[in-house]
Amino acid sequence: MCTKKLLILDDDETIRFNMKLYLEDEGFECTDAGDADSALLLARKGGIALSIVDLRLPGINGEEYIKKSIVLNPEMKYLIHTGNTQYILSQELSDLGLNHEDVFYKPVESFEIIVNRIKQHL
Amino acid sequence: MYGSLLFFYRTIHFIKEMTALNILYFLIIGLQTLVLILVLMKKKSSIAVNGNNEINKNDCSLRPVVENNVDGIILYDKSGTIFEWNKSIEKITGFTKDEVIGANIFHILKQLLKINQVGKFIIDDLAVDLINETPQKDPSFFEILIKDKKGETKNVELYIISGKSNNETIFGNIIRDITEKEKEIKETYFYLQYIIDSIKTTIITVDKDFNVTHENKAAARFRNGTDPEINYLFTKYPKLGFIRECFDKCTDSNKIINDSRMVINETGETLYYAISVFPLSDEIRPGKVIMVDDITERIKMEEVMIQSEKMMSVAGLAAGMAHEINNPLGTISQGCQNLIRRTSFSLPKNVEAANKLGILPENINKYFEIREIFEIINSIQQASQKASEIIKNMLQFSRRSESKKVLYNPEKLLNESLDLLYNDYDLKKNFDIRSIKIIKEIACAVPDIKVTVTEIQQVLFNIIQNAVHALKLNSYPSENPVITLRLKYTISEITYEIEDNGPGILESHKNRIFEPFFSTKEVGKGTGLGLSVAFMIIKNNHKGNISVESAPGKGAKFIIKLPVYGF
Repeated sequence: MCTKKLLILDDDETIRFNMKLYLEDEGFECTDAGDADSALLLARKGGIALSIVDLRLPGINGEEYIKKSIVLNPEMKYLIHTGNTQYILSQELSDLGLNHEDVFYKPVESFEIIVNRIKQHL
Repeated sequence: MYGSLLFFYRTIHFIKEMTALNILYFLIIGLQTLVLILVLMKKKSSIAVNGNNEINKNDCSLRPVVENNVDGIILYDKSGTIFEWNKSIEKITGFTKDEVIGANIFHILKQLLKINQVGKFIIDDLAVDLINETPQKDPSFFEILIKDKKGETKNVELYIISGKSNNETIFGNIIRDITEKEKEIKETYFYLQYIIDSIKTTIITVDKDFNVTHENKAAARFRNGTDPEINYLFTKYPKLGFIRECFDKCTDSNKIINDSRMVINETGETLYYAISVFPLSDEIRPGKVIMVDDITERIKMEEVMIQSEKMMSVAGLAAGMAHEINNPLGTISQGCQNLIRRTSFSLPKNVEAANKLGILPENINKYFEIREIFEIINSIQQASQKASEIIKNMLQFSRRSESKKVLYNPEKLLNESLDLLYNDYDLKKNFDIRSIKIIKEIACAVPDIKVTVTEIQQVLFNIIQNAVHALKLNSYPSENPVITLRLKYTISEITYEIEDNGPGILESHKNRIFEPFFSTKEVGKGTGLGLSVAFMIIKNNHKGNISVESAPGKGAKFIIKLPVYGF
């Protein structure tokens, strides 16, 4: 069983709740945050291996969070989970090591693909 | 006598009204000359006249004024013997002073005026006046043609004046050459006529009895027949019945009336006209000016613009909404997946929890099966997937094209779309497409267009597919279903036409078919987004145009216009 901690950053509580349930069932330890500032606080504490990030957030947006967080934890991996189905990964994030396989559009029909991607990263 | 002549001769001339100022100017100059001559005549009676009836030049201080006057001046006594003939009259008539001094005025006038009937009247009347020695109270005025010595025709104004002093009556003529002015006026007249004939607005003027006094070329469309005898407005223009109300309002109120009317013409076309009726503020000839403007194109353009704007605002709304709805859809989808997982045996935690409660996991599963809980979850998932599909389509509708455009052959595009259609499984499943006759009318050497190929294919596919659906409607079994595909072009654009002989589109639906979510198909059979996406692709992404012509029972024709590359 994998004990690496995942961070779910999404302003929608029901999304965080359901995602947590699923990932915990998969054996991941999860923590969550409703905004980027809280997420950065958690990231600072360390121990988080991967963040699943929503883009449209109150205050600092998801992309900014990734850029800030990666400075604190260069080892951390990121998945993007967005409701904007027209979103295309920016060059800046590509340069930080993300690629289009790390982008998931809501609603995700089968969570297995997210789990698979997480497993690839960890 | 002169009065009747005047009436006869001053035929009512349109230009005169136009050049009223011009004429006023002439009259003022003329009157100045008249006053001068009358003064001179008075003077003449007080100066010595020699045997040759010549005015003593030295004694006449006004001589230079007469001599150099811009108007031609002739003076003669009651016997008709000419004693004054100035420089200007030499120029106008071609006769020199030496030739005419001492000659008889009638002899000269006959030579000058012989070309005209009116001339004879003038001469006869003058003769009577001379015999009777009756000085005229007011000068008589004629506009007349004369022939000069060389036989050249000139247009002149002729004044006949007379005055009595010291028991001697002196007569005189002032002749002003208006040939050039007349030419100018005529040119102005024709120029103005060209102007009003070039105007597409129908312009008709009527007098107080509603008889037509003037019209321009554009008025012809409302005319019936060309009987020149008919002058009454509504008989001459039977197709102008729709202005009647405005016309009557103007008659009643004597104010400018502006309005518009919708008219359905004999071919069933709906036309829009803007009407203006102005009271003609001419005291002598009161009447009205009617202006009728065909504003059909403008109204149609406005409709299209309103439609476009509506679509744009819906598009903006759709983009924002899609984003927002995807979040709750995400929860629904995840929730269902969680439900399924948490009722499955494969998860040790589930078994653990069931055991703790003393429930056999397989019983939970059986209960769920009996109560069809899995079906319920499944239906939620399906619904969420469908909603997600609609959102995707909506986003496509609102998306600005970012895909790369390439130069492509329009005919190839059409053929490829048709191939897509023949291979479309859904369509094949429900209809026998091969039973529909497809006629292609393709122009030669159609220029390439710059397009996003998949988008235009999607549009053409969608419209042809709609035509197939229309032809295969159960309620409208077409006997000879035909789809005609046309491809035409001009220098600036290419035009696709997709025409079917199906049931057509209701007038009330015609304005709405491009609206998102508007569908006449059975609920669940279409998203109602096909044509609105087509609209956006053509209009927004390709700067083209899409429209439809249809009437119930007469089929439908979709027209797509796309700009030719480089134009």
